[in-house]
Amino acid sequence: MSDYLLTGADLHMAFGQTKALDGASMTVGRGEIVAVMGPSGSGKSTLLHCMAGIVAPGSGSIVYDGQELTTMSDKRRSALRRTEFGFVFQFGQLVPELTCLENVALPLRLDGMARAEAERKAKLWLERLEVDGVADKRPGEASGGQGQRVAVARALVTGPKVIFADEPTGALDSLNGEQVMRLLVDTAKETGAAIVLVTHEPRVAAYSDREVVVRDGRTRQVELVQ
Amino acid sequence: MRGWINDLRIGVRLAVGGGRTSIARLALSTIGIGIAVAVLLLAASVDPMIQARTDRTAAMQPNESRIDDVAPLRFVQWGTEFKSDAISVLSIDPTGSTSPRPPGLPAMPAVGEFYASQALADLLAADGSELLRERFPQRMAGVIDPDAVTAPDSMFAVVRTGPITTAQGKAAYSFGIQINTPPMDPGLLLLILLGSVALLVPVFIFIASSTRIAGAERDRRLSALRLVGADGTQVRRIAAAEGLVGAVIGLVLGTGLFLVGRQAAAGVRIMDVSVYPGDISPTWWLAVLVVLAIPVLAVLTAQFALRRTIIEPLSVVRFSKPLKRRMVPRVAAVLLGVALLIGADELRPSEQLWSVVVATGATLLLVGVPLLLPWVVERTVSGLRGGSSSWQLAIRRLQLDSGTSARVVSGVAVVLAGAIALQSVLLSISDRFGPTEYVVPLDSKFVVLVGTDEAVAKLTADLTALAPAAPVERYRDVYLQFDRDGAATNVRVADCALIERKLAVTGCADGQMFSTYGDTDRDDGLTPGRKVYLSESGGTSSRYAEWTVPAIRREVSRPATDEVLFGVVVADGPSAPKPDPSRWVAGARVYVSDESALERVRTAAVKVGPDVHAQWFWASTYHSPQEELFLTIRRGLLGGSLFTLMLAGVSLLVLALEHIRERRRPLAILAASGVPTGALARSLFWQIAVPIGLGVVVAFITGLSLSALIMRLTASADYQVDWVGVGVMTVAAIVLGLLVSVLTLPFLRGATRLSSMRTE
Repeated sequence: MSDYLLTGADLHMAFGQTKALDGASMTVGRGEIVAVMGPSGSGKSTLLHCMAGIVAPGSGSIVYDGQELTTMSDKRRSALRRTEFGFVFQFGQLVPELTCLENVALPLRLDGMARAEAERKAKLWLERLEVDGVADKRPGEASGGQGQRVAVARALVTGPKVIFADEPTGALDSLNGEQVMRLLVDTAKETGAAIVLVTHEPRVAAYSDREVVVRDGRTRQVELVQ
Repeated sequence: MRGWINDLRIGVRLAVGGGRTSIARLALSTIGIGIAVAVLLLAASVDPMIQARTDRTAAMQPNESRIDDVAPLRFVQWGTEFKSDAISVLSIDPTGSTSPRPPGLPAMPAVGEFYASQALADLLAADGSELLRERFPQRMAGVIDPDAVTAPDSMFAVVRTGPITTAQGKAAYSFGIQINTPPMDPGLLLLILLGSVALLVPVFIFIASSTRIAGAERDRRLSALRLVGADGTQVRRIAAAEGLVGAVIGLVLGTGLFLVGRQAAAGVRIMDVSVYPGDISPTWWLAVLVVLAIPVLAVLTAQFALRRTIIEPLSVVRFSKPLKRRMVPRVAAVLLGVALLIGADELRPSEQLWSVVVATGATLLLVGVPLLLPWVVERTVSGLRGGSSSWQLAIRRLQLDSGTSARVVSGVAVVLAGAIALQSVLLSISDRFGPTEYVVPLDSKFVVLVGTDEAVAKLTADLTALAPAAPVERYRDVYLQFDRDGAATNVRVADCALIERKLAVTGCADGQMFSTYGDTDRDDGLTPGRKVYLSESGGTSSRYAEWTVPAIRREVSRPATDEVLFGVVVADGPSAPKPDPSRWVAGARVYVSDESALERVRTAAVKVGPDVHAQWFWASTYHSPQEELFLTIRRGLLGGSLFTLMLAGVSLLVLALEHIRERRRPLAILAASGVPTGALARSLFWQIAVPIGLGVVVAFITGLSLSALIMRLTASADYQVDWVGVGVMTVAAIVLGLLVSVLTLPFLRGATRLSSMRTE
């Protein structure tokens, strides 16, 4: 078995005539924080989506914990996203109709947990991330920073092994961005979760252990920062 | 199982939670489904409604079949009119204690008493009904139970006047007869089938559209669920639960609307028809079908709308040009419909399968409109280029996603296609079923009296005493049969003074007859000296006397304005035919100056008795039962078409508003970057106008094809296109589109405010 928790190798993907990934590869170790950097349109988000099993690459291999993601059924990949992965995106990941508490409890409930138990656990995470005050509010009623912290809580509530974060501070001011990143990284370290962090901000990338630079769909590994 | 329950709960939560926006979304779809449910329940009640009326009418009819040990009830049925209301009266005279009591009466009325239906009782009590009250001098003993009155507005009375002496009197041994409805003419059956399909298909499309309200938002929401690990099946379950909430609330709302509307129906009279609320009860299995079909349709529509979201959990992030719509399955449905309608020719209209095949074929053809329209719009706009900025914005938007706009106008296009088909079928068969109208010039205000000789004579004498100056013209109509079996004709007998005055002739005398056909050499069989028979009606058994045609036949020209003497007129005298005095052969025309004079004549007629009736002729129309049925169907279909068009208009407005709401952010961004609101309004207009224009074309082709195929099945009528009707409906559809565009303008202004840019 590989030392890496998640490995993507020689990934190719195109949207029409546009190549999004052109032989990209990357690895993520257990508990490791990897920043995926690159200019706009370089393919970093597509790489994250492929690695998370959200979209299937045109060709190449993605292995998570010894299992090939590209040949896995939709049901199994959905179950992985629900139980082993967590997601923090810049926009749109919270369901606007649900309260913040219900949003955090959502992956647990989708996994079959009773509502009361799911919401009890969700509440603990909201408290831990210091946003229990917005538990009964809808995402639209919370501030941007609070919303992202709720998203972090939802990403962590299932005890995931990997958190995929796509520009998690892109819509926040620097102070709120710092707070969210601090909470995300600290909590991930506490729980032993790895983070795949897509960003174009060096300030955010500074929280990572290692950087992968994407340019024109190809990747270049950068040595450990720390 | 817990997973299932959790998913369904999440779906319900997504449907009802989410503040103002989702409540507005739910309200729109619920109202849409609610209206459709109410319409469907009403449609499901038509048959029981007709049946209940028929049953009551049948139960009220005196049955003359003899029953031993029952003393017969002598009766005579007659009628009178007051203003525009027709009043039916049953005069009765029980001959013993076992005589049957008319239904709806708590007790047999005593001599000099009468019972009235509620509507008649109200009319009798109303101000201005003095002349009507004079016609019912008896004491009103009570109101007839509504169960024994055909409809709430039926004017009906049961009167006990004393011995019935008229020859019209009959004997009843019970009440209630079997009304045998003859098999319906295939042409009318086709009309009903086509009408039902044309009116109900848009309702189902409306339900499907309502379920897809805010589809883009729902896709984003469900994509977010996919992102956090909901698999395809779970998302389907969640979407189904979400759709079910709207469907179930809509079902409850629709049922409520139906029940409330049913109660309100008691006081409503549409196209001369009123119904009891209790009669508006849907056929049970149709009601069950509606209750089951609406949620199923909502769930299926939700599932159908999900196909892209399930494949792509990140549709929230990446919008790409949608896959091209495939033509083959869409055209296949239409072709199958055409094949069924052609194939129905091989079946007999009396077979149940024939109705099913025709209805299915017509449904498939009409469903072809919403199936084909998105494809037609997509293909058409893909080739459009250039134009003004508003046009370009609209076309680019349609190129990216024409489905929403096409769906928005599909409802109107289906109604239009159905209406075009209906209008053309109605016109084509109207030659066969359309009523024949004999219009009397409006300046000749007169009442026609018909009855027995004695009664008409008495009435005319009474009227002359009442108003000596009022002209009265008397005559008799005699039905004649020739030796040849079945051949018959009519002659009118009048005195010479009237003949000379009306036909402008001189020297009229007994033994003459006048043919008013002028110079036309007309073979009416009345050759001088020929022996003919006086008869009651057709058939040799009703002959009751012989008559020899007078020796002198004079050909005269009838003045164009005269309506009293026409056909063949015989001078009264010893040589004239002498009909049985008990028969209704006497007639008279009484000229009246105004409405109160008319009512005085009617009142005088009632006072003379049931052997005479005063008929008011502004425009006299005779309808055979089949013509009556045709008129009823036509009234129903035209009323239904208008209602469905209104429903389609509401649907168009709701979906157009939802379209603006979904696009408020890009609209606000465009407005913020300097695009004038006028350009955006024109862009939105083009987004509706282009699909409407194409929808009209598709509807046109579908409607004409459908009517041509339907008329092909009725070999006895020529196919005609009702271009006027088609034009009116087309213009109505276009105006509806324009009206909706105008109504959306205030919402567009709201959407283009800068505050709309913030949507999170």
